[in-house]
Amino acid sequence: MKYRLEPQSLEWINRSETLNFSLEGQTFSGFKGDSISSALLAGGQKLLGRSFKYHRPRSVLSMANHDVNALFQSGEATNIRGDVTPVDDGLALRACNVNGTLSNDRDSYIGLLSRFLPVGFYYKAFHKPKKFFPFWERLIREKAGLGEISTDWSATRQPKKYGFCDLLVIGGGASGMQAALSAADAGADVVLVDENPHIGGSLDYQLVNEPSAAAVRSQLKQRVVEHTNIRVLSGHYACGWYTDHYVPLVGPKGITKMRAAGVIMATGVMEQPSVFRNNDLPGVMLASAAQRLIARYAVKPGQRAVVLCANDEGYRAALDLIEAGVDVAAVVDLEWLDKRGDWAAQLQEKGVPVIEQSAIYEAKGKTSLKAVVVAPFDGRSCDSGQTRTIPCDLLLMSVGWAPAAQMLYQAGSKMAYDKKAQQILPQQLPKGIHACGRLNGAFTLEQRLADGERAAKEAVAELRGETVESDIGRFRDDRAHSHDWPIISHPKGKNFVDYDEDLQLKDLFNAAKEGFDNIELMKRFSTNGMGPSQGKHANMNGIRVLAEINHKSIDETGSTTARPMFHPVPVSALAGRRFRPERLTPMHSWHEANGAKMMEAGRWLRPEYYLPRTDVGTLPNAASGAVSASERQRVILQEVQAVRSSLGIIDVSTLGKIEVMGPDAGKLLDVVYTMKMSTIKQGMTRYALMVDDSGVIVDDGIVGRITEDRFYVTATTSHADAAFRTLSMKTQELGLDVRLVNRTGSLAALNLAGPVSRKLLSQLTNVNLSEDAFPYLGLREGTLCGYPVRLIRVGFVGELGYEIHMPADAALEIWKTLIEAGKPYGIRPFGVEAQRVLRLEKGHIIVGQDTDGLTNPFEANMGWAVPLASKPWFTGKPSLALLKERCQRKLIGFRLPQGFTGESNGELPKECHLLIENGEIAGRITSIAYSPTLGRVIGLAMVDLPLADQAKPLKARVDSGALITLEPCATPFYDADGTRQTADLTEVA
Amino acid sequence: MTGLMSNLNLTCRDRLRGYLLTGPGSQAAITAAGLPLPEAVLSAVESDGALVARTGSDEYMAYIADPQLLPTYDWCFPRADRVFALKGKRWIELMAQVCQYDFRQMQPGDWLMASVVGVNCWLYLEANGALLIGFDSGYDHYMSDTFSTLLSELGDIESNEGDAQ
Repeated sequence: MKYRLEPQSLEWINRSETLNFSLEGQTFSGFKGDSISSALLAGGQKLLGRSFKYHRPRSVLSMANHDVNALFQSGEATNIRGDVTPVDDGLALRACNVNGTLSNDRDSYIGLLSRFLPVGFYYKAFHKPKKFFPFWERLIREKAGLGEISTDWSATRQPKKYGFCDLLVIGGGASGMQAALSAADAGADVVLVDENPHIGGSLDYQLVNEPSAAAVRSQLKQRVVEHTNIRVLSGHYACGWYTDHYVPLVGPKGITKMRAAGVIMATGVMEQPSVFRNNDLPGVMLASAAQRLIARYAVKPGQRAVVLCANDEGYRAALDLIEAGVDVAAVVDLEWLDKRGDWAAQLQEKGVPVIEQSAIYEAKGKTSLKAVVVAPFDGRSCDSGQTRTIPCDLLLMSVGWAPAAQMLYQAGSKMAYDKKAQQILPQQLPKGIHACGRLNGAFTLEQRLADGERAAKEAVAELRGETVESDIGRFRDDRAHSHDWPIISHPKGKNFVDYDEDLQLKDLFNAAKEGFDNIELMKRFSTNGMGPSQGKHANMNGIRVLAEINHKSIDETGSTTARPMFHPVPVSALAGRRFRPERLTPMHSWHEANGAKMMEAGRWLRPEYYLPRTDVGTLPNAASGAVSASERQRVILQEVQAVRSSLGIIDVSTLGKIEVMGPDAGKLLDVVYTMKMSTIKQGMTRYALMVDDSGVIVDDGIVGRITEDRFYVTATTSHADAAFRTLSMKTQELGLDVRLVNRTGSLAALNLAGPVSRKLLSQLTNVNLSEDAFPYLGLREGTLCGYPVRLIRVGFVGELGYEIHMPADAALEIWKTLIEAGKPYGIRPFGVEAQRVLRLEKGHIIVGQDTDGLTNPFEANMGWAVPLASKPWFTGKPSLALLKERCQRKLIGFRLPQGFTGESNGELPKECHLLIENGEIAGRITSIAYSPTLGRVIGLAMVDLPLADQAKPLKARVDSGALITLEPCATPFYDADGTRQTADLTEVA
Repeated sequence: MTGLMSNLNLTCRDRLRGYLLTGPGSQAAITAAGLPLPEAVLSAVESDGALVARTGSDEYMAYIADPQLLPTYDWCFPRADRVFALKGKRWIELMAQVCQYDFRQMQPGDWLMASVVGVNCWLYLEANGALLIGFDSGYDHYMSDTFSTLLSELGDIESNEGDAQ
């Protein structure tokens, strides 16, 4: 660690703990608290990365989480930011975007071709000859992009948590700490967040050697830490601002989703580079980067330095270099020295020459800085005829700042360019948003403290509901800290505006020449500000360049949108814990114990099918899913046959179950469902179709009438909660005297289906099941196995059957009793897949499978459920009245030729396979299955009109690309007369 | 079920049976059953092991351990709820990971209906500091697994992140 300095007063490193790591196989040492870059620099490794496009050598620029040319790769992680990522023992690194090694990058030749790769070249080249495009595409994809993603990664999730406070202060520098203290003193509950591991901000690196700041620093920090109304979250960054002051704070252990009543932005400023030839050479860095290296990591940034400045801060940096033992060869000031203050005077006292009204015309060096060429500067350009060369290995740039105002923009603040400050400053802030400190143009320590206090007072007053007259500009500095044109053209170029994307000054001029002379268009054409740092060092200079080109002001030129996230956020943090609610029916344990292969149905788990017990017990691997397709198909068909021939039982507890009661219950149901429900007789049910205001089918079920003022409604599994919400909403909207109870969870349900169902059920219930006493579509209340139940005669699967609705805590016992009692009849539990086949044979649709987000009842052949003429009103009626004549497609039945099974005579089409007519898409298959009852494959398809009405063979394109012929046919496929609904075993025998 | 997180444990209130009463006769039915009657909507009162919450103008949810207190009323519907009791110094820290309500403002006797780990729940803070979490019993295994994981993971974490929640 030959460039390590003596201990610094506020250094972050712990010298008692040495860490060893490697870069490209070479071992380095650092201290606990070092960043990767600081440890490498301390060890003499100046070259840290290669640039994105030209693979130019790069090193430290900011040391502020913006150094996107010093990205590293470890075994699992990529694009590790060396400037802020702590070094760890045993870390094995290599550089991103390097073909070979850092010192010998085989792609560095690309820089020699730069004249052939002008801005936007990839939009124009490679199109002809067309056949070579794949070659170029592959090559560009290989060369472009940063880092390599390891596909052998381990999934990690960081927990998220919710946080709350009165005031969130973002930025733990002088103004932020003062704002937090003032607000906390006034009684506010404050959270102070800072992205660095320690609060202090620029106080701790820019003013670390400033005696007058020492007392302020220690007092502020101590009071902040000890204040009971302040919670300090260091090492966390606010990654974006969202509505109602919802600010995610990203920390090392995950995201805290902070909801604040108000936010004070004390986010500071980001130092901006000067644009000149070779301004990217290792050794050229921002002044604040050098100050961070010295103060935080005790790293000597160079041996002989030149400081380019356009403000007092540059002189402070030069003084800090001298303090750190760096030989300062000269200070080059873009302006006159008489504009500077005490720090410039101190520097002159130390004998450092100041070259006024001059700029860096060019930096010299191949892989690192060797010298700078200085030339007189008139505020716009250099006089290249009067240059002088100064040997140096370090050049600091201190020419101006850009506000870290991304979240101010996101919150909707109005910003404007202040010519006095030569900086974009907030002008008008939305309610609950406040800004202070350098972000707000307050630069001296006194100004920052006063501005922090002002912002806190205004924020607290606003929280108290007092009328606040904002005095946002009161403590702004009256001197500029940025130069309006720190940009030097050079005939040989390589003067970079955007380090992320290797954009040179001429690239922006060329983009404008091509017509992309609007800030948003220029950004997209040139990619200025679109790299990993998102323009934190490029946007301000980009705006200045475009303003110059267009002869417009900065405000007239505008700025680009600053979207979240402020820094990249790990996917593991975004993912958070996995909360995936899973709901089980009361019979779940029985299903699992009896070979059920479970599947997800919305939040529920339902049996897909059962592998029946054998002599040696349940077939293996049912739960793990290791069941062959043929075995699966075999048991599903057996379940279908059991229902058709004898008896099946299925758990339908997942159905929505809603009690609708009160004098207006019928009126409510008339409004919500297409058909009239108020006319249902007591003890009877009716099919219930729900559409939305646009006439799209959203749900179906049945409505049964218990008493005059009491109905029982079922809804589909996935729409149960939505159906309840719709009923609740309509009750409120219409002011109806109705009470609703969602009993989906408190009631279980099963469907006992098959010719024997009546016979079995009659042995266990007190309800009279005779055809006269309990007709098809009837609803009865009674007891079953001693428990109160509702029995409903429905026919979804097309057989005599009873839906049994019962208390959840009685369901398992009733289920077991039915299974036991049904054994003599060969009762068989069946799952969702068999149910799908059964209902398909009957031609019944499944909402959400045979319909989509646009399907109306006429398209689904359910015009019979839309009484446009006889019913005065229901939800969706006006839309359906129009849609009736505008039907564009229709659901039709089809079957495959006899003997087509998909096994040996062609590929079996699947749901969602497209129908093709004359080479165009003409529909899609919505349901398809082999029907054991019919002995052939049947299905439903949504087909465009008029093709759907033409009864001609259809063609389905299967996965292999082959076209399979479908024969349109009428539905239902099975028991068209519905005689099975009233048959029992005796009658059909 | 008992959690491992330091100073925090989770138990089940198996004996509590839930009922929903709605309609114009609900108030009279609750009073007649000798149950406490909350006045404000979305408030709750407890007495002698019974907890009654008012969830609408004439809608109540009653949780009773003693079956003899069951109200007699046509529109009284049994619920199939499972009730957890979370108790301990760091319960707010745990809840901050699973629910977006600011539990710092929750006082003993407060009733709340909110989403917890993605499941609709009711929550009630007992005078003894235990937070009751009621939910449909179909989610029992999911809630049990999730809270067990949270308790074991949080047990290893020091509360040193500024206590932001």
